[in-house]
Amino acid sequence: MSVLTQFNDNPGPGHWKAVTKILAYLHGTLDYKLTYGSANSDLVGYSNADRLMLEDRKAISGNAFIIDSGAVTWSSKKQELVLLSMTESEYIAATHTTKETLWLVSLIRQIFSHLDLPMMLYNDNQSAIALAKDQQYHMCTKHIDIRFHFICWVIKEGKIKLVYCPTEEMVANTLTKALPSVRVKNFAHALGLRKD
Amino acid sequence: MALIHTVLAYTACYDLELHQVDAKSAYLNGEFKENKIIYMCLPPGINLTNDSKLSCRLLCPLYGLRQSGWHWYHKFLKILQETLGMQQCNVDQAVFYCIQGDLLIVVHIDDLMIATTSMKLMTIVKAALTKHVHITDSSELHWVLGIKVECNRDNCIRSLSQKQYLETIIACYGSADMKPSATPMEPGVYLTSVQSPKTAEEFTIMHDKPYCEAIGSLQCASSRT
Repeated sequence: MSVLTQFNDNPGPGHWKAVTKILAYLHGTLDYKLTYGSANSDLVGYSNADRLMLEDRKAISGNAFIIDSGAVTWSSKKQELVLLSMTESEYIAATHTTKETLWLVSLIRQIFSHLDLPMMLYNDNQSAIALAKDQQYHMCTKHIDIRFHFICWVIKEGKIKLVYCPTEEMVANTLTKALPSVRVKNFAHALGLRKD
Repeated sequence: MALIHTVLAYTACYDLELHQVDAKSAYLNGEFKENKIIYMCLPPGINLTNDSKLSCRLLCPLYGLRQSGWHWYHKFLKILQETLGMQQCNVDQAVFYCIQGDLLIVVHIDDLMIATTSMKLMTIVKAALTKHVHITDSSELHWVLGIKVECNRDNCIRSLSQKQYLETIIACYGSADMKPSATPMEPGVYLTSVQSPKTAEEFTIMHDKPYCEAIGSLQCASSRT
């Protein structure tokens, strides 16, 4: 979706074809419902970025939060900067996800239950996790702006914990790029979209 | 939306009663402060006298008055905080809760989503609200912001469906012979501005396509479920 909106001002036949493709997908999944319950699990977050940077070399970051086996909030957004490596884009995606996490955690802690901290935030990039864990000075990452190091502070505070999750289990994957139908189906199920 | 999804997920998790209540002509319930005086020109068609300079003073906020929403908010805040003894959540100000943890109200303008631990408490809350505002009781929550909510209390499952809205947009922008597809986007297909129309022929093809409208509807759908 976020890719298609970029051509709002001057859409071509190729873009329209992509829109009809989405409509066709929705047509086939009309009976799917976003379902909560059946797992009794607390909040977990997933963050991911994709290097689909064909147009202007900007990555797409995606995140999803799951409570009780159903997604409660999700987003898919083009990042605002041109990045030099995959680690950077994953790191920035994780920082944006952290902001959403803090909001959700304080909401849940205030009105529902005592949520155990740190909250698990899954990421599928080992080097981004390493970078967030300890701020080692490194030639390749010294240009990253201070505001993206916000995540380090949050981790130090013990509010979140970045955990590695293999790409095959990264549900936010489906929010950042086009995937083959089997994986689309698996991830949709993991996000809580189920048929009766 | 994130708030509503979170509330629905937790009400399923804790098996709470979830009802929907709508405040009737909500804005008219607002109250002006004592020193606040607002005058309004007489609506066209009302001729009480021949004096064209005559105007009327408002006794309560009307729909169309810019500060009506604000007055309604303050009035309702007072009802919830002072009469029902609820706390306003400072993370999201549309949420009100009781410290005992047995009552939760989510406000969306004049629509209220009430979650309680027991039916008895639900009746008490509704009765208390009725004393202050006229309400329409829609009983169990079935629709919220265009999403259909279904509830299976036996298994503690709540499910949300946008089938109706999606059917409308498919009928509006899709073609009748459309085959269901397994993926929303073909892997390996890259969209760039190079594909934007350049020739007159291409412009004619795209001329009558409701691209922006379709994108808008899809974006709305994607933010809800």
